[in-house]
Amino acid sequence: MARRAFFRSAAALGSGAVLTSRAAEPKAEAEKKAEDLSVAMIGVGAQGQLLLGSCLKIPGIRFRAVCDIWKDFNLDGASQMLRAYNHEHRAYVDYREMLEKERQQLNAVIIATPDFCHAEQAVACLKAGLHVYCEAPMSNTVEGARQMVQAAKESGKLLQIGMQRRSNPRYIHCCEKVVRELKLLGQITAISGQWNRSVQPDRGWPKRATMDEAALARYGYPSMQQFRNWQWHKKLGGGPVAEFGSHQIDVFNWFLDARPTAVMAAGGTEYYDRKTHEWCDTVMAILEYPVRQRTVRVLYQIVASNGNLGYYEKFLGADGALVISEAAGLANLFREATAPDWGKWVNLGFLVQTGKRPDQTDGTRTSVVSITDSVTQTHYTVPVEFKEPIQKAHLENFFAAIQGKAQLNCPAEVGYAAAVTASKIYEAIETGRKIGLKAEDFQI
Amino acid sequence: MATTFEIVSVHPDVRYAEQAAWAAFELLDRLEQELSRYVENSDISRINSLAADQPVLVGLACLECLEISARIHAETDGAFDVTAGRLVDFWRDRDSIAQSSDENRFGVPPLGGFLKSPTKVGTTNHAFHSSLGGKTRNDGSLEEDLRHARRQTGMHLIELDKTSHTVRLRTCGVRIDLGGIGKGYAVDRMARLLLDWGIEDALIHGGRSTALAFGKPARQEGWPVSLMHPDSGETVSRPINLCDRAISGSGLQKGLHIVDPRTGRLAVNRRAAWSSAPTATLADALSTAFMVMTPEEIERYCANHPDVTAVVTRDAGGREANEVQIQLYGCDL
Repeated sequence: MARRAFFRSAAALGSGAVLTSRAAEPKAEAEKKAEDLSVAMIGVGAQGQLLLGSCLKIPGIRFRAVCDIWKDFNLDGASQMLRAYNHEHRAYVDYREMLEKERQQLNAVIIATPDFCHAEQAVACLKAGLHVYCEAPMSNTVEGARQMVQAAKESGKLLQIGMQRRSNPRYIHCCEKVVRELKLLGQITAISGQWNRSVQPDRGWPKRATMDEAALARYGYPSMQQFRNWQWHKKLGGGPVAEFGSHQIDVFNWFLDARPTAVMAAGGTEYYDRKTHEWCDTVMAILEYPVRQRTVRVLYQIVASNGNLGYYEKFLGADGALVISEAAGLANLFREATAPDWGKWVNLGFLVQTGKRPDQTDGTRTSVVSITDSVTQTHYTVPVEFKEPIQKAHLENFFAAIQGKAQLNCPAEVGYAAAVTASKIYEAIETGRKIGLKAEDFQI
Repeated sequence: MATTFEIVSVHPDVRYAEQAAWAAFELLDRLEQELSRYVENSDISRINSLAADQPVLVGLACLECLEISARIHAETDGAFDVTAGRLVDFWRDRDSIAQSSDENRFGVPPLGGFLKSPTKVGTTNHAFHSSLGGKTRNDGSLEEDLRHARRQTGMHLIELDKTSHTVRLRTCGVRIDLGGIGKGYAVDRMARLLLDWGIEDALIHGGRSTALAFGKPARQEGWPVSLMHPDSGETVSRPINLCDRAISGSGLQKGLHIVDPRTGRLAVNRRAAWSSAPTATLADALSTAFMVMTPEEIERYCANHPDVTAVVTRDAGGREANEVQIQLYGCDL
């Protein structure tokens, strides 16, 4: 979405009214159904609220606790929403206090805090015997991600990483049916992907909800500005390659069923102020994947100063191309003119033809060629509807796994592979060298 | 993405005002994702794909919008009806007006005058209508199609449960369309956010067809707005100083249609209607309803709701096209 803001200062006015709010006091324990899962959430900022909203649309999920250090804004807002849905819960500022008091009645914790908190909080929750859903990326460091994988292994508890494309039925259909089983793209030779975003101002905050410096320092934030814009600071966030790129790197790993063996990259902070934007705002990377004695190369870019074409992944094979994006439910397929006919896959319901010209149907040709105007590339999509919020299916997979009804779609090891790759892209940027990756780099 | 939302605010700290506006636009994004019928995983799409008697848990915004819609439906004797999506589809498909822009589909924008406002703090492009679908039917069964669409229209066909936060359809095939209220609801929510940020003087509009103002610019009695006729583009009212109120317009523009949900037929009573009300949600819904209500119904509504103003064009046959007469009901603008 393109946005531009224009300013002209006007009359001076006083600051806004101070509003106060308090977290809910828990009432009597709500009647709990046997199949209900009791969950807590740590971190209810923008992403946490999306997850919370998705969870509230899943029957049988009961929130017992919610935690956020930003009491006057995030915590009060989330608590208000939970009260509206009649979820009897307690609100906490410190997750350690929450774990101590609530662990006995919880099944799982959902973590949506800034990246640098993930490892400590996820490990603590797993050690407390709770299943964990943690937002991607796993951590702002590979070491943090490694600790999370180890804690999941040692605790025997589930750790789902929030790379929700793994539970998106459109992605699942394209990967498992279109690419792997039907092999409609033929030999995949090249991939490209991007995550482009329009320029946006630093995140602000309502003045009435400014946190005091001592409280911020207690939780590791040098200032309110950094707290609100943690994504750009190296000690707080994993940077755009981790935050956005890890989702798409995981798609490459998943569709190719491989891990990269080398990365090359260049990047820098070229638009924003380097003092407030420590991480790159522009990244160009090439990843190499070994697939059946050949190399598949991925050209990947992140541009934080122009939103053109948004974010997507594009797979190019000898027989066809697939352009897929979580945004706007996009999954477009283009058959090469020289490729085997796809008509039967349309007839079998695996594809939908959206181009004007129908393919010849197998076995029904009555002439060698039907003479008509020149043939354009045929366009298809997939007959998969996804009428749920994008995180909801991934959360449902997590809850089903807790109940023993499913396997996790994105366990810690999967998230770790993306985290390792993201870190190597940064290493390539910093050193200016091609960085090799070995199989053991992805193992714990 | 055809409708432009804009926030114009007055604040001593420009950067702060920009950040507040940005937060409001992010809220708008989230609301569109929940409320647009044309977003495949919105709450409205989830409801529209339900089988009969199958409850679905929805978000607070969706439930609140539907509750307000039900209230306005009752207060307007059915002239405002968010379940009329099938009828909207029917008339759109019948006339194959899909080439027209999304913004114009619902006959906007008859409001004008915002650009004269003293401070401008941010724009975004947005729409609650982002795609068009359907095909033209030429099989002679149009009347039957219309009857079918009417059977799938009516607030009695949806069941809201505030306790369980669920919505249920009494029959499948109902198509809820918040096109007549979603913009206003978004504007109200954005205003609430700005007030929480301490922005006390601002005007917000969605597509220039629904505007809400609170506070006022310096040395002004309110935010100057005017009403613009959809055909002539001429101002049809004296300048209005909008303050702590909302105003909204609906109209027939470029041959486009508004459907009367009570008859299933196209609105032909008038070319344009405006409403002024305490909230943008109410103003947005009422301007749509006033397009199809009779003068007597509008008069009665305004008598029963003294905080509402209605302004409608009087379009008698035979008059010169450029001769615009308007009728005002209720309190003065």
